[in-house]
Amino acid sequence: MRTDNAPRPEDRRQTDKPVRRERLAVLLLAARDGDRLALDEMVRELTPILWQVTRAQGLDRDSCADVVQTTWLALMKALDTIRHPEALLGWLVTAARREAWRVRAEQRAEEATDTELFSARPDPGPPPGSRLLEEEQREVLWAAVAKLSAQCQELIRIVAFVERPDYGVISHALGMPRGSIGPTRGRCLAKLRELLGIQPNGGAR
Amino acid sequence: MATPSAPRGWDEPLDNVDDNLLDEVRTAWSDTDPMPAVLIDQVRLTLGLVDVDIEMLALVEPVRSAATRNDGALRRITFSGDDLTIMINIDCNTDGMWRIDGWMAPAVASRVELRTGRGLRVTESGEDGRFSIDAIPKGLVQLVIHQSAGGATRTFTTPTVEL
Repeated sequence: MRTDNAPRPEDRRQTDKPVRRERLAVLLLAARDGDRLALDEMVRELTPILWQVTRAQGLDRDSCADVVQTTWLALMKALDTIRHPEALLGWLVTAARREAWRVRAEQRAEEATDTELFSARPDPGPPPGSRLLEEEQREVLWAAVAKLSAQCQELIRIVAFVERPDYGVISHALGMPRGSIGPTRGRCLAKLRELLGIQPNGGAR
Repeated sequence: MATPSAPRGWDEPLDNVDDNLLDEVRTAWSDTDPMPAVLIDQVRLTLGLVDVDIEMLALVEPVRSAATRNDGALRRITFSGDDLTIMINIDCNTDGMWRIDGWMAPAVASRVELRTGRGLRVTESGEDGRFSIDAIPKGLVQLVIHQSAGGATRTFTTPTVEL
């Protein structure tokens, strides 16, 4: 069941809806003027992405919930200082990521390995004979994602929760070079397709 | 320029297959590692937003009145909910800025806010339920109406409208 307001595949292309960046800018400006309803809308819309950002840093669930709240509090303090309201998404992603690192360092967590990103995964489940086709496909997907670099895993995880117009903002906030994703496919997604055996020009999947 | 190790297709535009693949990734993470259902409300509590309660009005009609010229400079839009209907006329001035004239039924004196790309505009509606906002920059706008009755405030918003 979806509780995360995530986009549907056809929403990614955003052909006729107002671009989120512009909507968020309007909300930010209103919030800055004291509009608590605008702030409420921002919280509802962006908290799910911040959850993904913090979990992608390998932090435990409870700490991630704390980091998300801390990030919103930090936004409240910095509200008047954000120069470009359209940069809200990037600001929040960057802030959440840094706070997650800070907390992780505080906890003296072990060095993040590729497998840490999968620490939330449940036990394998029912024996292979009774697995649904969907679950097998899911396992194939996980296996492919696990072979990506840690940086690509982080990028793919987070852009999966936003729409195309936001891909560039996300990759920039993650410190990746321009062109890492959007409007071209970029190396991470191209690599994932390659690992899954999908042809570059459209797949037989 | 691609280095020898760049995977094929890295420089191709995003396509439907990419969209579907990312959607699978999203579903996989949502199923495996879902955001706690209470997290949004926890944040709202932390930020003091728990008493925030609003009703979003539905867009009922964009109507082109007979008086509208073909360039469509004048638009009339109606929003409606259970307890409030708002009709607005949107017009573009010669200086490129926009104007909204509205009226509400039932006619209750209300605080009317307009969220715009350059901040919040605030006005009051009269006892006849009418209000006007001028010199609005082009772009997305959204109305927020606050009505007080007997010590309680009700709040209504409209969907965003593009000027």
